[in-house]
Amino acid sequence: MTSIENIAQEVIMLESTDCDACERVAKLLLDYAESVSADKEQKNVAREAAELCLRIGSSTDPDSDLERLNRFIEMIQNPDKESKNSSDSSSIIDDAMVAEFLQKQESVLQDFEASCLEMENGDLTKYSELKRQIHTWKGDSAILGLQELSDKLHKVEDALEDTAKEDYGKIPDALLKLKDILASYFNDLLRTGTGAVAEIDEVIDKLTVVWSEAEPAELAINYADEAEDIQSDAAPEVEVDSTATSNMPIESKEFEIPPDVDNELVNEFRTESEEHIHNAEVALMSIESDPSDMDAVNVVFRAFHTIKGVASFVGLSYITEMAHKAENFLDRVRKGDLTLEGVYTDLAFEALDMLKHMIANMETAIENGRYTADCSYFLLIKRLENPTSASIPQAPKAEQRKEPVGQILVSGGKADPIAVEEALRKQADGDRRPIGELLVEEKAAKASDVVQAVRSQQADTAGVKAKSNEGTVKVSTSRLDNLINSVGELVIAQSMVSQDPDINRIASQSLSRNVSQLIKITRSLQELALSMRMVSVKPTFQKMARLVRDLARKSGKDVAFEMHGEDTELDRNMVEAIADPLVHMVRNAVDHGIERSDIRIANNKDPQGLVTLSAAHEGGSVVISLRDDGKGLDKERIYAKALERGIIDPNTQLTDSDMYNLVFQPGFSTAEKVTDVSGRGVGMDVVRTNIEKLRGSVIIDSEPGKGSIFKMRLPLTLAIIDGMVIRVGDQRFIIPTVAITESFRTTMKDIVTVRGRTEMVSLRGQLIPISRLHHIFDIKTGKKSITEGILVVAEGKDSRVALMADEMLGQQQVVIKRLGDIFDGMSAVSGGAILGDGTVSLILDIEGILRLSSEVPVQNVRQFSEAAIEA
Amino acid sequence: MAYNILIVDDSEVTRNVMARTLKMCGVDIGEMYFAENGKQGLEQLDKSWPDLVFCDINMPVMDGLEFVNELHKSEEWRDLPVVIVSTEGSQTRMEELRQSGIKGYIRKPFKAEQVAEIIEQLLGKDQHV
Repeated sequence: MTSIENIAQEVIMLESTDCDACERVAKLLLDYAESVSADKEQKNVAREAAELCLRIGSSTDPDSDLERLNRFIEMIQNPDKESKNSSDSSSIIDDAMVAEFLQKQESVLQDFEASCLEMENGDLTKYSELKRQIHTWKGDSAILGLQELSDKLHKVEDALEDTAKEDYGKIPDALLKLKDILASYFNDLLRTGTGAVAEIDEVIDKLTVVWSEAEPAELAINYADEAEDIQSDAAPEVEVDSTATSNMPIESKEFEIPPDVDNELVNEFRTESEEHIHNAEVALMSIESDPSDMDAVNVVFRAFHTIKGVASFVGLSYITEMAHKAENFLDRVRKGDLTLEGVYTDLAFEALDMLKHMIANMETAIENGRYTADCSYFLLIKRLENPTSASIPQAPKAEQRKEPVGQILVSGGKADPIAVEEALRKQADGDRRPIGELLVEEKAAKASDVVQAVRSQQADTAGVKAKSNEGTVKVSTSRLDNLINSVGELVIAQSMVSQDPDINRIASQSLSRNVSQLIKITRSLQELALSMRMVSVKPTFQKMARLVRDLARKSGKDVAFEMHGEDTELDRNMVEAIADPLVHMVRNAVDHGIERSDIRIANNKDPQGLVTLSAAHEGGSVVISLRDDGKGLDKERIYAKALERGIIDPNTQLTDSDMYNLVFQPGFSTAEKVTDVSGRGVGMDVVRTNIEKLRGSVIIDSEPGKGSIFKMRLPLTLAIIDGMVIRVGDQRFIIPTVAITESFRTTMKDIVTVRGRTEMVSLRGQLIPISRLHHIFDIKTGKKSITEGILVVAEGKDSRVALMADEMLGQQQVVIKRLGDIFDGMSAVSGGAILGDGTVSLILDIEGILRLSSEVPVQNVRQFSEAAIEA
Repeated sequence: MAYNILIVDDSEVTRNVMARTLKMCGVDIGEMYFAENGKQGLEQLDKSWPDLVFCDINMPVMDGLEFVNELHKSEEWRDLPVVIVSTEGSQTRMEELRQSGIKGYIRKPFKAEQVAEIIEQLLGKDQHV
């Protein structure tokens, strides 16, 4: 048997290039592992060492592997020391730390996924971001003791490093897979404390396949090499030229453009650059009014930086060059070297204009294979390189806008104002030394005071910077909900106080002023509390982006995904609640809506399908719509199916819209066969139920051959509505203000009775059905005649109703209280609210009333409303 | 005298673990300051006056090597010892680092002893007693 000392000797002598020796040592280590099989830990370490040893020959970083091997051997030789060490580090890293890390990963993974998708769509600038994230994960997991994960990620990193530029297109797919594995791994770890990362090998395989797949395509590589040669040839020439221009007369120069420029890339480059240029222009304009706005400077910088990066990818070296110089110029601004004022702003604008011009005309240049840069190009480059040169008057430097050091010294009593004046005059006369230095030289101030003054000046600017950095605090949702509930109660209590008859009897100006102040503060507190629950729909939308992509792959279709208005905010609960319905609808759109490419081509459509998800504010609600440009819904089939399932009566007359919306009926599914992607038995009726639970509505519209659109209308928040309080007999009701279009008194001549049953009122020539709230809620008191009461026109999703009430009392924000499960089946009422005087009032559900009035016998719901009020 | 330490790393986990490690490693640590990248690190210098910097290599905005180069360019911070903390660990890389004036190198994951050792090696052992 070989002792571990012998192996250690061998390892020390080991050369990473000597494969045979590596194998021999590996074998020795395996033997050793067998011999110490009683000691499990030792055995494992020896095994790992053996594996590592075998890999060394093919490793990209043999030195570090050798170092690791040495550490393994040390571990075997001094098992005690190692275990002491590891116990030490485990005391530093506790479970809470790992848990905190894991909890944060959700959003990190989301960003990672989004970047993957963006890269897949051509944004190659995301590549380095993705790489860095993997690197960070690697480091973090190593530190947290998740060694296995760290090792795997290291390999992924290596594989990425080895991936050739031409194969970048295949990276996102592999990394999306990585994201999925990590997501479930982190999740398992968080819940059960263990998880498996073995699957990451598949990702590595995917990446390495990317690599080897490229090899047989020798032609392509050679071609690309040539292209690179041209590029690298072109670059130094530019260098020479641009430096030469500073001394020599400027001539025109030709930039070569590689012949294999990817058209798709060019188009994406164009759109992206235009967006960046636009943002930069906006930012520049805001800089003009506030030159210290560093965020805006960064926007401009980023624009140049991105254009530079992508242009070099595309192979447009002349754009790269210009953007590069502009970026350097902006970098000097960022460093405080220059301030974007006056001529410097002009210069930045000129650079943007030049880039805009070049990008607009790049297709011609690509066609010609060259771009001829004229003297304006080089003149601009020269000025960007040397903005402070004689041609441009010196703009005031950034530091001077802070409180001058001299002033700090004078106000602190550390220097004589006259001496400072004197020093300033010297500076004006061309003495370029800082004022502090001059003062110290003149013995007008002590060096230490000057240093302190400079430091306090810097601290001032640092303070400004710190302020612009918004901090966040994590709060658990239950505490937030408690806060919002309490604020809700406060709002009620406040209105009870301010409407209290006793208080209103006190004729005091200061009291009424204070009360109105209280109302104002309460209102803003309420808004603030609610805004804390608002989150952007972006993460949910991004998940859909991924879903569309995966579904498209699975079903072999080519589908693009667009999203609009993803920054729209919704109540947190709402965002969570719409995720599932959205998944259903997206599945439907991709699986049933979008056709296969060949069918699309046959129908003269773009071979690539498009699914668009958008969110927008409309009135008091948010509308989320999902549009696909697929084949649209098949009216005939829906009708046939609905008949077959007994959902509709053969005699029913249906509009197109009615027909389409039949798919939301329970027990309806048009999929002819159950596929992997959709049609798993959960139909669109679930979607509708879920959305209606949120006080929202969903409608569908479709045009045969052109596609379909699903529109979800959701209230902004689940907790509060603006309501109009109306009186009906001795009861008060609340109508959501958004539903009300108008109110009026009518005369008998405008009232029409249809078939002796339904009353209608004619309003500007249109007939609107009247719903007497007295009847619906069986209220005996109050006005009986329509002409005495007031008609409030309320709008449902596609029809209107005139509600007859005794009078309108006023508008109020009310906190919605659920009535409890027993009232779930009641359609005229959506909830209850406590009014200012402490009484309970019911919130009318307009949709429900519309349904009620179309169904025949009006139900007697008096008992319900009484029971609710008692509760 | 307690040592002030500046930790420059874009990973919050690493910053936290390093902070804990420093607290537990037996060396007398004064204030600890944090920065997420080289640029922030430079901004922190005037505030923190660190005795030693632990710095990652791969960071957004300004990476560790640029940070170190900036330090060496400045009059004031030229001699501030910097210890690189990174997962990159090849011999060639370390040689490169040593040449750029890095005083020490710790590989992630690190142990308390390594950290203590490097502090003592660079700043002296008994000063804090």
